[in-house]
Amino acid sequence: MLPTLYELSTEGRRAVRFPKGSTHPWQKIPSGLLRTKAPKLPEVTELDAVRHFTQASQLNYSVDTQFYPLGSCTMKYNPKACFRLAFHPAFAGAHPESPAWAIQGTLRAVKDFENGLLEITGMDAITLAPAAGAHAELVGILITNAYFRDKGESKQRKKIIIPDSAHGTNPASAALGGYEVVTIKSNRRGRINLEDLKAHLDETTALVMMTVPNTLGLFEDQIMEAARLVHNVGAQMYMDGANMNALMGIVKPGSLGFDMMHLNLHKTFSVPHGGGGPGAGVLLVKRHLEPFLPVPRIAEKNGELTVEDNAPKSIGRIRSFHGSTGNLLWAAAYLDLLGKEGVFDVSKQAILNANYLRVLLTEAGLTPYDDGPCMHEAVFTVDPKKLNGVRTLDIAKRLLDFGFYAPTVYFPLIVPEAIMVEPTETESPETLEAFAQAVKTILEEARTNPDHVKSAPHKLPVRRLDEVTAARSPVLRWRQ
Amino acid sequence: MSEEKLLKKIGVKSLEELLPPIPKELLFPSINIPGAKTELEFDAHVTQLAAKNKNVVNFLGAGAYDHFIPQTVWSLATRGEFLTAYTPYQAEASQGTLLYLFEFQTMISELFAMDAANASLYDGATALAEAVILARRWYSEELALTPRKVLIPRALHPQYKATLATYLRNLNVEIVEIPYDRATGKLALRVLQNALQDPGVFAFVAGQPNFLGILEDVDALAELRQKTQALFISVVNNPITLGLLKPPGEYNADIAVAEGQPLGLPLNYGGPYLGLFAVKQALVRRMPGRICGRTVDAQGKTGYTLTLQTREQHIRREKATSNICTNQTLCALAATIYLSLLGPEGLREAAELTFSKAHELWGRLAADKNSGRPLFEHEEFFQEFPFESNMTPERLEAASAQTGLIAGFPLNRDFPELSNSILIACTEKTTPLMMDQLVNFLGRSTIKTPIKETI
Repeated sequence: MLPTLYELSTEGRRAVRFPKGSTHPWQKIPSGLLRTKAPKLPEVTELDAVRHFTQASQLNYSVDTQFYPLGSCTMKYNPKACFRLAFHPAFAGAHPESPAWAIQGTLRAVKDFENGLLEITGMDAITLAPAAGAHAELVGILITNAYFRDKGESKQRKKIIIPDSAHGTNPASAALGGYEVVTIKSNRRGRINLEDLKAHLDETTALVMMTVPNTLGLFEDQIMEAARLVHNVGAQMYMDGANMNALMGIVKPGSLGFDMMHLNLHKTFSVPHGGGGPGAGVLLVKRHLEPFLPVPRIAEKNGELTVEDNAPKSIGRIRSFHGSTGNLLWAAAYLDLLGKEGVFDVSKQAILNANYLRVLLTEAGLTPYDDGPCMHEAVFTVDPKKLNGVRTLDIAKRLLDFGFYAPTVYFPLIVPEAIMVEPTETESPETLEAFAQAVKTILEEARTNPDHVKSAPHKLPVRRLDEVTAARSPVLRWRQ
Repeated sequence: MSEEKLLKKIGVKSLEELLPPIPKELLFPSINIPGAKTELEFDAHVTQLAAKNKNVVNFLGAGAYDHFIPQTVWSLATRGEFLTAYTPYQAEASQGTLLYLFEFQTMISELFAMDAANASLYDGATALAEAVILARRWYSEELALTPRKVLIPRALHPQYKATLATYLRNLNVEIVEIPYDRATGKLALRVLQNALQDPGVFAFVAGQPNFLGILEDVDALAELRQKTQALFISVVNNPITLGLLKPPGEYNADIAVAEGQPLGLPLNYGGPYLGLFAVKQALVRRMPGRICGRTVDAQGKTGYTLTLQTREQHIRREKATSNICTNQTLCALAATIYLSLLGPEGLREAAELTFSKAHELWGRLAADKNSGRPLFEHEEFFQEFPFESNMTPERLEAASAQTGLIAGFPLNRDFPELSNSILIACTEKTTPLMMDQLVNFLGRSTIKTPIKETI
């Protein structure tokens, strides 16, 4: 491993100097407010820092260097042309409190993007404020609450129903919104169990949250019936749109019966994942929920754009300022470059690639969870008993040695030893074939030399890490 | 054709055969957006849009600050290996990301003089909301008490207040505002002291500097913390100030939060920003969000991994400490690079220069009665100060649009008691010429000629 910058630090070294200013009399500040001991920050030259961070970067796998078949995470290629908008000084330098007259270019780019997303989803209104998908979920839940408060039903509607295949953020967001969470089981086909749904639906239900396509990569083919049942008891339907890259141009969620949905711009709309963020979530709603959207929102009048925050029924603010504008501009650029034709092509290619990889991996020896076609991703399971005790995690770690990032493993929780692969639309058939070949080789290794698989990875900067000790006695900072 | 090859291998004739039974009338809807642009066309489009943003001289701060960003920060942070990597769940293939998150946590802990920091949250406002939720949960779990009140300063960032109110709405928490002293702009300590007598209070919040830019007496806050079981949450208005100011850990804060944007992030019209979150040892396992830890690999070599994940939503679902899945890793990288380039000396210089510029401007404006007057006579502020202009907010706004000079953040909307006041901010980037322009601009309030011609 590389040494930390702290270990490279040498007293008196520095990279940045500031001009000498007029030193103002500090006496005007009571000494009790001043720092007496400087914070311990590394002392390095610019070249020290450049080498350190460049070398650190080379310890990573990334989409620019490797295939990232992470199910539900949609690690597609991020076109470089999007930089033009996102990093342009006229946009990057804009202060968030700038008056609207000074910022018409930013507002125009964002407003056009809003309109594009409304077209793609078939919803009526939108907020771009949420910082991430989970943040958007929370906003949707608070909107649900505000909606029922407005109708005088918030006291009775106390629960949110979520299928067991959902992302963990769904139940966590529901709890943060003050709701009781009811988990319902999937049916044998990996879809929502309508009988179980019916059994839990009543006037105490506020919201049903569904992921479409779900986290098994399957379309919820009874979705319209589910929506009818939910609306019959007066509850609302939420779509976790994390997997919208399979639906663009194929079907609009607004026509399936959803009242609200979120999109993860770092997935479908290609904002780079950044090693874990910043992401950006957007929340879209049907007309009846528009009054409850968070503030501020962009309004348009005679071609002039303004930022409005006067909305009496709004849930209020959910963060400072306007949203992750830099990310919104990246996604807006991506949509501009795709255009009308491109959005459908993305979904088509994502579906074709996923099914192609599903067939290749089945041939390679993995067992698919479902034997029918999938949407943009497919889930497999392995039986360690048949592989000399080699588990899914071992296969994932061994794939790293072959130059592939590992697929999503042990999710969704309802599939034992799950492996979930998502090729995305940007990978070539050759890459998918090479990946399937690697899986095949590893499954053979499991039969002939299982210990080699169990002790993988072998070729990375570090071998398998001791996570138990890391959690038992956490070391969260460098110390001398 | 690769499409035919794929279809053949899959064993179908067309895409439709792969699609679920969606009613025909819903399938393949038309999407009414413009056609695809080539990169060349897109470039022209960007140039057009950019021209619609006005190049302004501005003194806006109010929670987002235009500090200098060394070129090296984003030259490194936009390397594809950082930019296009995933959340480091497969630690062995993500040591680069994990290494800098470990360095980030160390630097933030040092800067705040706290025991531990997480690997970032969305922004300052949501970090504060998470801190208050943590405090309440800590109280009910550690002390088996369920006090309901949190005390916040009136002079807290209005958007932080609003965000907090939204987050707490369904969690049975009452927010109580502690006023500021009208003569000094500082937190009314006596009111706070009295409010803390109430056993229903589980936490109190104070900012340094406060939203009005004024420095609080943090030693007095430290004393108050000693006399109460309520947790003390400190909001650091701008982490660069910690190059000079006493850090939260030294004035008894239990949790410190901040907006990390000034540490190398462009203003970007409000985001993505960076929520900083640091705690004392007792609260480490209750921190929301991502945390990176150092460990060893199977051969005893040092390595890094995400840790304490059993608090997180993907494992604990509805019982998680927060619903946060994504954090602001890349923004944390920019801050890590920024802080390592500046080092302790550079950070102090950036803070000093910022402080000096703001005080120089204050002095010039205080001397020029034509323009109005600084709201408070003392100079106990850091980089921004409220100024009572001779112009009404409407006239200021109109004049700004005319001249392209934005004099500051109008305070009247959030603080109606400060009717003609604006919050004026400087950074180390503020030039003498900009100051001349502002003094001139505010001083011309009584002159009838159009401002445009006189500047």
